[in-house]
Amino acid sequence: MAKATKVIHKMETDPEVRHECELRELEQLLTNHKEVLGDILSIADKMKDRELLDMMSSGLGQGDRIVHRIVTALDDSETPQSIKNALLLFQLLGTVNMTELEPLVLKINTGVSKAAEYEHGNEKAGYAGLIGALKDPEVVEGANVLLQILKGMGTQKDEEEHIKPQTERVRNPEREMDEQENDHAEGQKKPYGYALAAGAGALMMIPLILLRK
Amino acid sequence: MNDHLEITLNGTKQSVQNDVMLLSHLKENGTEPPHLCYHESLGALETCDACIVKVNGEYVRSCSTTINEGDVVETVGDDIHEAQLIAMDRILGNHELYCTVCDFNNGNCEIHNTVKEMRISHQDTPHTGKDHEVQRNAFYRYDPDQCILCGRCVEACQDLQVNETLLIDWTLERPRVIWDNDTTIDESSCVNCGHCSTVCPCNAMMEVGMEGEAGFLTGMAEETFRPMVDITKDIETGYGSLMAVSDVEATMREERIKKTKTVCTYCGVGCSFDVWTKDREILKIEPQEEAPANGISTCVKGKFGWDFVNSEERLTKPLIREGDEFREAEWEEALYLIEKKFKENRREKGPDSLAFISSSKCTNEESYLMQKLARGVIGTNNIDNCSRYCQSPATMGLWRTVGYGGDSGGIGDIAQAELVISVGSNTAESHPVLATRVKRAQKLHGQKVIVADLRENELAGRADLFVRPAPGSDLVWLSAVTKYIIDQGWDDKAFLRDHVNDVDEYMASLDKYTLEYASDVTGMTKEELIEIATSIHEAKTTSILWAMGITQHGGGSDASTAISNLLLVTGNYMKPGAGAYPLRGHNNVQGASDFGSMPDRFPGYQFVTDDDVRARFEENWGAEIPTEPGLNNHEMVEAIHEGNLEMLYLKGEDMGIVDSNINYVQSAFEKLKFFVVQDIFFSKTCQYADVVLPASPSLEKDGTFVNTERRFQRLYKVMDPLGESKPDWQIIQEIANRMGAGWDYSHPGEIMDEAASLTPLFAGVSYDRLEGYDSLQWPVAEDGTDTPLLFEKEFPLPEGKARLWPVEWTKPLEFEDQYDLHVNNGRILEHFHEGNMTYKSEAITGKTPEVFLEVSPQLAAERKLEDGTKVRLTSPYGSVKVSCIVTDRVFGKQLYLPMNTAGEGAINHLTSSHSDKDTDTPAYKEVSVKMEVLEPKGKSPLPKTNHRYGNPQPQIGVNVEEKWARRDYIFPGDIVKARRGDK
Repeated sequence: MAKATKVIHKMETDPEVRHECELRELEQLLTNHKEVLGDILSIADKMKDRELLDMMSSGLGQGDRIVHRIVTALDDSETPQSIKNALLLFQLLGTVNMTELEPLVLKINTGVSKAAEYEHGNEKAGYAGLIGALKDPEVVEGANVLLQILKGMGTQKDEEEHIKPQTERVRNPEREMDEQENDHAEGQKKPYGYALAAGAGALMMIPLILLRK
Repeated sequence: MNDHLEITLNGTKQSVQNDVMLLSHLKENGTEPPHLCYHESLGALETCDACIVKVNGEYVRSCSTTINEGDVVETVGDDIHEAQLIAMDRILGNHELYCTVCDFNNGNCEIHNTVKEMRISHQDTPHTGKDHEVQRNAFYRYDPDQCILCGRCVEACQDLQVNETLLIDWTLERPRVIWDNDTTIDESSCVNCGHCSTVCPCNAMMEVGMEGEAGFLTGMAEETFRPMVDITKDIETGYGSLMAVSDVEATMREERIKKTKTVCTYCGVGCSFDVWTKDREILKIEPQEEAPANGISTCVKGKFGWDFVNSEERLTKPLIREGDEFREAEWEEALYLIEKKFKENRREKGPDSLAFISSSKCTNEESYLMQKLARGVIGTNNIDNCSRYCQSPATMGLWRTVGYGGDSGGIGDIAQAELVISVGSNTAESHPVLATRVKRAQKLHGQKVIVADLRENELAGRADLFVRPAPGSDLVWLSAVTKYIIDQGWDDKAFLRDHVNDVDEYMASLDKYTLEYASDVTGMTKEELIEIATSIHEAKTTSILWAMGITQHGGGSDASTAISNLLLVTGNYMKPGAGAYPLRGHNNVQGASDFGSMPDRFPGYQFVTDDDVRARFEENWGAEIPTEPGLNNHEMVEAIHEGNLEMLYLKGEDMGIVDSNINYVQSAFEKLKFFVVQDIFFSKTCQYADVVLPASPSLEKDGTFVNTERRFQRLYKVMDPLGESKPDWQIIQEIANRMGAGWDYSHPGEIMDEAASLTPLFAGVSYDRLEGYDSLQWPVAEDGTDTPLLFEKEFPLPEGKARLWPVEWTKPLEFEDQYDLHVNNGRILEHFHEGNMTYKSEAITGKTPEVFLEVSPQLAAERKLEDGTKVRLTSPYGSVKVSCIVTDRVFGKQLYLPMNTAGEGAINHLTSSHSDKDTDTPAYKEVSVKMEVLEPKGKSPLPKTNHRYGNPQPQIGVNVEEKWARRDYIFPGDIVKARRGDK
């Protein structure tokens, strides 16, 4: 005759037996991962030496408060701008053709060396001297290179631009579709005339720049 | 009409299927335009405008455009792209892209993916909020500031689930989704079925289980979230990098979020879906369109009712009784005790002194092993399962008339029937997802619905005709309708001639079922009877659904037979959209019997008395099997009382609560010499056990279930068993092996292979053929061909013909005058069976915390009852205490007491041992009581946050015309046309 009962006695596991069992499991785990554990402990030692473990422990313990503090501070500071700039720079690097850039960099380096060697007032300044310098093939070659750079700078490249941050776009709502609409309405502009004019103007400015003290 | 049309697509001529929408064709063709509101299961909603293409030079939404001969379709072009961008820009004005810190960023966010595919780098319309707080309850939440107003949730709620709660209020300055008349989720009519969160393309409507859990960066404090989003947007340089970073994060999530296909363990509809888990934590249930029974549909239990798996109340160690107490024990000790006791009794009293009860909650493989243990190891046919409590009469009625005890077709057939008759079935609450198909077909496609029930349940409230026959009188009106049809010459004479035997004998038996007699017995009017007959006559296809209101009577098998007779007379078998649909109650009611947990049948309904069949099993099992049928559940209880049965091994069933006349059943348990109960919780039945074994629920094991459509579906193990619990098949195998069986199953797939090899009914079933969402409907031939439509050419009876089976009405139990109230009983939507799983869900229990008694306004006025009045109901067999709800769902002196409690309101304190005369299924529905008021005033058992107090707002779809009529709306195609025109 088994009367209904709800009384259940939980099994009391002998703490020593349980401890023994857990130790055995742990021992097995350690043996199985001996090498990895060695490496991890070595790293942990170094972290301990530099108090990194203490820092992490404190940081995790106060995780929510710290994250909130950091996020709020970041949101109010220039840091997002720095991170954004870093990301933009990173993206820009992808657009640079390093093969083509190398000779130009060498030329600029040479120019910089020469500029460093140049001493103000040692040579006779004046338009005549400048015109005389234009006879120098290296100066002519340099001016040609600069002209090409200016020409390139004058080319319309808006449509290839694609690294606008989201918030900036939301704050400045002259947007893709407007641009596309303009493109559709007016067709592709031919910027070469303006570019050449701008390039020539800039070239005219070079002597003035060089004359500045 | 031609099946195919010729069109020109992007300059190329091609042939297109005639009846598909343009978007569907473009998707098949690989030229799919972007789209966000379109959903395969919902169709065209026309709200997002993203799928604009050009047809014959005009901009159109491809989702809602039909294809005509000679159409010239363009999907690419600057102008088309521009129109699509305008649409997407409006969407992004409603949805903020903070993907990396969004819980929905799991690779399936449709906005994220569309922005990426369209290479959108920025937006014209800045995102702004809708100036309304987030709506939430314990199941899901709605963030209006993330909502793109696609209307999928509304369409799903209005026209798929047909709960008609959600709307978009297009009259607001900033439209948003609202519940009923713009109330909170909890105060609305929302039933928390989860359709809305399932179809939402983004994180606007999301399961709360996902919040702060899915992502690596999403669990931050609320006040940190906003600055984090701002920083993310500040530093992520355009959507390109945003997409890349969030894609990486989404990929990382795949490492820790496991998505496993399973089959629901609640009702017999057989919903399947993916379970998303993080370790043991269930993040959400994600239904899939490819799920054969339910598609994207779920009910509140399937979508949100899984907390029980991790409940602290789960049994995790075996228990052994010592006197009037239990103590936890090791498996070895428990199994040794079972072995010793079973062996002793078999030796001393013979194998028939033991009995075994399997469960319709467990898998097919477990049901198979349980009967193999009984028959092949112990040597007794004393094996049954709990479908004895519900569905055996329906099976009997179908065996008699059409030869197979299963649904004639699938849920799709019910949906396509011209006429659905539901008899004694609370379908919308007991089989919610199946009911959605009926509600949808009626609402959108003109399906006619007739409901015969005592109570105005949800489907009855929606029915074209609702009739209320007297309790237990269904056989009479069914037979009278059949006779009237024959008398009118509306019977399908060709069908009867070609496919049915015993016609004349049956027709002669109908003489007494005149309209007058039926009206007299049932209380239905003659007009109602004639209308039912006429409806059947006028419909090309009629499907009849029935459940416990038919089966749980003294004449349950006969009433089921009468239904099948009516279908045969009207030729409503052997064609899609027609037939008999006994709605199986538990997830595996069908499978438990299919796999032989019955005293007289092996798997596949092969008789144990058939020498050839028995020899086949004996050879395979290497055992001798008894030749005579054993005891069913009902007979087992009797045998215990008579001292002829001493030991019982029962799994997965709280028989001490769910059997009828439980005082009698419980006193039988007390008399058992040795009682083993295997369950996931310490149930009422466990209290009487000598050994309790901790089992694993469906999420912790592999296996298969068979749903009400006769459909085999696989469930995959989602997580390891909790504690020391084990899958039932492993426990049964360990017990069998201790009894000397020598079984060596390492996976349920091996058990299925063995069962299929012995069972012609499903010879072709194998795990390989049930991979993922693949399914098979029995009979399944050896080559894997299955049978969605059960009867196509013939019936599995002599001459290949069905047979009409004359039946007599069995009058329901009569009670003394003092028992003046009739107690109807059954299920409610939110809880399942005795509630041992669903009450573990805090969210569900918050909505429906306890059982309640429905009383009619008339009775309430007469007895001075109100919401919260506590009463005692007393029948000749026992009494219950329960609090009242006054509702017009019930009438006059009829009460409704849901079965979902194991406490002092448990219905089976009132029921008798009276049972169906042919199957011994308890006559649960034949109960009368007297009522005594205990506390006139009290707290209502049903909080006002229950959906029953809501105020549904029916409409068709999302009312997109209201959106189009807004002054601030211009069709993107028109904008582009104007711009181009200005050029």
